[in-house]
Amino acid sequence: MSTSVDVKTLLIDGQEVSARSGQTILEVAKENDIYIPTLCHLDGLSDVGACRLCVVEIKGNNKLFPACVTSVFEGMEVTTVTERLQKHRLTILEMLFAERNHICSVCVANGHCELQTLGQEQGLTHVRLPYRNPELPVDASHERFTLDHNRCIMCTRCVRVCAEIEGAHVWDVMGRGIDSMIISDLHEEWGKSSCTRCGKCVQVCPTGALFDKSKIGSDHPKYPDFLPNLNLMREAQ
Amino acid sequence: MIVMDDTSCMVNVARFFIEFCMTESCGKCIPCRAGTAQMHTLLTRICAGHGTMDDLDLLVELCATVKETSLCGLGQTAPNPVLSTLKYFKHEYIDHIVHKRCPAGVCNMEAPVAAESPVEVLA
Repeated sequence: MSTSVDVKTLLIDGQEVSARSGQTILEVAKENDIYIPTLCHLDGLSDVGACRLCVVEIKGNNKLFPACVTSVFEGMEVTTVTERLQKHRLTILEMLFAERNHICSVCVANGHCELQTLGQEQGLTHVRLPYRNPELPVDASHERFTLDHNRCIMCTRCVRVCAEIEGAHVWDVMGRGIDSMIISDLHEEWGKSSCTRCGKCVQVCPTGALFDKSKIGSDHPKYPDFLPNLNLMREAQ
Repeated sequence: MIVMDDTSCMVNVARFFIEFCMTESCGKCIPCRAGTAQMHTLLTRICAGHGTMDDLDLLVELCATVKETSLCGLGQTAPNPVLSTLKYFKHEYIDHIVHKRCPAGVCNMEAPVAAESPVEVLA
């Protein structure tokens, strides 16, 4: 069996980079310090390509490709910043802000929110779409954490971390379309579910949808960086 | 291609198709989940006679984003009825927005412009 690594050479934003076969555009871009905005992606979790913020253009194809789930090929020419891409990214962010309730000033994650950071970074100055403001419940039945559906952006990071890393698979998605919601177990209260109280979902949640009860009204920074390290340690065992 | 006569309101037809796509959307990707819902809101607004020309521009922008960034075929084709009706029957949209009139007589324009309850001043 050959142990040689299949190396691909490609261009990202005019910069020549090399990658291993099977790597995604996002992985290669990160290795080479090229920034691509992401929201549902998190290092250490599987990718679902749901948020569509990481869309990039590939020369020779008019379609847009999500960088987190598109594998590299030899001679690929990727562009990560164009007027068309920026416009779509802004519209997607606008849709997210208008979808539920994202009033930063009264949010527990204010200042530590990935959605807020992306909005600032991408230059989202106002939302033109009508706010939907659906009436959604807040599940505070858990002794340590709270789930506020109004802040949820359905990135499914909590679902993935609970199933893939913790192995409990407490979280899942209920319903479909605009009515879909995150549920614990088979739509039971979080406090009565099979939750192991590890708190990983709270740390990976990009917004204030999952938060620690002891941090209400105060700074609530999150630390999702533990995941790659945890994965490395597990692989070493 | 779909054949219809002049008793079908094109804005209402577009709204019908978007409503179908909105309820069929799985909700995984943002453009399809939130985009179809927003388009439905805007089209409902236009059908009710509350639409503005800005809503129409917004609708076109939403169509482009949903079409180009959606994950699967449902989202990528969802805006087509809106785009086709806008391409061939833009005057019907204008009639709804500017003249508050539905040429096919389908949309109910009787609805009050602003559904606000009259303000009562209590001394």
